[in-house]
Amino acid sequence: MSETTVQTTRINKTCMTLGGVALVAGIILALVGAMSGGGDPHAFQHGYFFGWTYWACMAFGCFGVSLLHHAARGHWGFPVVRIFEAGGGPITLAVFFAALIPVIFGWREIFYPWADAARVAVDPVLQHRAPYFGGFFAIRYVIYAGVFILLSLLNQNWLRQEERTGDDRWWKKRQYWGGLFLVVYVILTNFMWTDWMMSMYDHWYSTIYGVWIMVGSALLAFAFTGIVLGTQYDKVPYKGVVVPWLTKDIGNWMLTFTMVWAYFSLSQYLIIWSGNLPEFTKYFIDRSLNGWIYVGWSLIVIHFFVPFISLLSPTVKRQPWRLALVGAWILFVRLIDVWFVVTPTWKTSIGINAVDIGMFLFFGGVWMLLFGWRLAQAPLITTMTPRLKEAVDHA
Amino acid sequence: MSLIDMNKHEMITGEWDNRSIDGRIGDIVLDPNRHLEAKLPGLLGKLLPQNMRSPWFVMAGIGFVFVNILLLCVTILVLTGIGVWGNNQPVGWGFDIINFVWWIGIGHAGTLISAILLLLRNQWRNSINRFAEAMTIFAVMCAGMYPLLHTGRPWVAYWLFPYPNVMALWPQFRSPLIWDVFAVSTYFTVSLLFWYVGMIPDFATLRDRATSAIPRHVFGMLALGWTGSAKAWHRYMHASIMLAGLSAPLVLSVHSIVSFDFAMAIVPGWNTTIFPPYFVAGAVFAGFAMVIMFSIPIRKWYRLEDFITMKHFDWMAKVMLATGLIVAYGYMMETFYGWYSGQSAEMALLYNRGNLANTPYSWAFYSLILFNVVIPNFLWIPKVRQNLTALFWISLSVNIGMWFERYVIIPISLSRDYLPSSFGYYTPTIVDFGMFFGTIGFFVFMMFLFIRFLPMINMFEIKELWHHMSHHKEHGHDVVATGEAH
Repeated sequence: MSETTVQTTRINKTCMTLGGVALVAGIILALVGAMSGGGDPHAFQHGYFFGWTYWACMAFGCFGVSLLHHAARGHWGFPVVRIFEAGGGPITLAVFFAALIPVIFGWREIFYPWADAARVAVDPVLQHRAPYFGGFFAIRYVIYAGVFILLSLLNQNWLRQEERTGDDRWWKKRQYWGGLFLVVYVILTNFMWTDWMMSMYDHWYSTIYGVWIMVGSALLAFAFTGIVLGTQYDKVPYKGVVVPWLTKDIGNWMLTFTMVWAYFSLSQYLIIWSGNLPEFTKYFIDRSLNGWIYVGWSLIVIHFFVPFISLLSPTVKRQPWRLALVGAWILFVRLIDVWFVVTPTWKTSIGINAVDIGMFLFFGGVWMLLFGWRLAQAPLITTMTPRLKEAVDHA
Repeated sequence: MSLIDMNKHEMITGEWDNRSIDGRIGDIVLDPNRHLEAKLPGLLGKLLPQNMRSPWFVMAGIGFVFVNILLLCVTILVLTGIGVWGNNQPVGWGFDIINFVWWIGIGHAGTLISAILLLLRNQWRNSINRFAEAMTIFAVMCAGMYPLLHTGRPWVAYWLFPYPNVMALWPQFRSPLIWDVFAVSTYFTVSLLFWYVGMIPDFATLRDRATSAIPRHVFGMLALGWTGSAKAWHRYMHASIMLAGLSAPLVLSVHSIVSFDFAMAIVPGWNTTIFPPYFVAGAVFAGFAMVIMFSIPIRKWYRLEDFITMKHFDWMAKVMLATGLIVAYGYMMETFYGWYSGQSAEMALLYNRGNLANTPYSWAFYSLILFNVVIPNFLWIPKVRQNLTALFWISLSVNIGMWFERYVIIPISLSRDYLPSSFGYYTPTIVDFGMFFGTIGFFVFMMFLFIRFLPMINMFEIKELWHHMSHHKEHGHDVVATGEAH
């Protein structure tokens, strides 16, 4: 067994163990929480969607970032592309698409005003949107799932062929199609989040919303990559590959997406605040009452200033373990942000219950198990990629 | 044969395939096989301020004619008032704001190329950053004229700044128009400073090479006593990085604030949250188009093929394509969410933009789509990116399209907002057109003056690249990937 395979198995075991524990703990907590009730008759469904959203963002983020790498051909991506592929590969995407079926088909009346016939009957805006949310809603779901899984499958196959044969036409193929795939990804992701999250509001909409969630997802993917590099830099096969330029590049990506997230958040808030129109302000009013405003204010500090200032430092980006710490912090603050974006939609009072935590752990467990499993399917570093040598030389 | 070997000739000629496109970028600016044989002074001779050739006279002459038209129009405007423009209720913003936003956008490529690519250590910028920075300065000058004149009394424009006064005047800080005053003036100041600082070592070279007293004294003063010592270089590099660090957020902030001029208002089609990033992308889109449009003829007239290679054009075209796709995404979002909103005013706006038969402005919307979305998408084809004629016309199309974008945003929304009783139609006057073409003339004239008197390509950065190449060749290494490693 080669050193590469051994190391892959070690990471794989860690992820599988973590994933298994999180999965079991999540199920127990969710069941306890659901049985104790707590005043919310739909606590389970709400917790389910919250947990799913965070980890689906991770999966979609990994997939998107892998496309970004294929399109941009940056050196930074060669040593870590398998992390993205394992985190957002076709099977992972398929599982997360399947896990949404209960929400958008089974519990749609709980989440979506357009699915409530009584509300639609008295609301002209919902009536106007009715054709879009009729049968076409299900067709769109099939399109999103089908296209994402297909693109991911193609990229995965090309990567494996490249690994097997060493023929550079496979990486050229990934790069050749990368730009177009990225365009398709951005457009579909926007409509996906509009369908599944934005449409939980009857009138509110924001044109930046889709890319805003997309940027948060990419940030999650890079933060997780930072953690992997930070914990594996001195072990094979990363030893000698995780060098300062690589951690610096990944750190710079984290910094970039932190800034873009803040820029989009501020733009969205400022424009809606200034316009002060009732159909738009509803979103922020929900997030400013009953203590939610403190979460919003704290996000400015914990989600922007803390990672921003940390990642400005070259020392942090050069030392893998420090980068891993910042990555872990970003995973945590993304959780707060997803909670702030998702939960106030249906919950006026601030608070988190056992189901929310349980479902977060459950889906985290599912993602980690899938990640560990998929990571073990091929060498951690795509050794046959011609440009990997360039990337290492570049160090 | 390695990728790098295969790439050496092709980078100059543009006859590359996918492999050579991916070759290392250290070979972009200088060809080690040819340029190391040449003596450095001979090489730099090509970069000195250019002698007047016949294209210079033609272009500067045309520019000068339009500068005079601009002066005439400004004189008429100041003497008569802004009633000489086509602005009137309900369209209070017309060519003035369209042109302001258009010019500010064009200015963005300079800062992007200079500051952001400097921070990213992408040395492929070396051949084009100087004149891209010059474009920024002159484009911001053109932009600044419009809001200044739109105040109606430009001689009291200083009232826009907060200063203690007996008239109890104080700017309305909640207005993005006031943010614009600070954003644009800061942008201009930092860009000017960055441009000037970037030229100091070259001013010293010009001083040292001057053969007569006047240039020696003028360039001597501009060089600020530059000696080229290690200490001076060390501080110079720090200053450059700091200015680049200051400039980079300005690229984002200036056009974001310009977008707020619209997005903060509740006019149909304006109060939309995608505006800031989509305006920034549009600015870079237009800016790169102008850089390409300008560099294609200049490269030919002044025989700069060795410095501005086909690979530069390929990359600039890719940046243009990427930003063009973001802009197209913005149009898609505007259109989809206009429908999704279910608001009558937003849907009426879509109707006004899209219905060819019954609305007065739909031709502008479809022109925008043609020039800004359809035509730039030909850049997906590598052969198009390597064809300078095609690239020139596509860049022209982008600049026309970006102008139409602002035309679509401003008069269409303002002429038909919430009250049908106040619907109107905007017709620009001859003074509007005179000022628009006048500022284009001013821009061209200034750019050609710049070419005549200042080095349009960074001489010291070319020297640095040459030094790296010769150093590596002497030590038997392959040419290093200077674009990224240093």
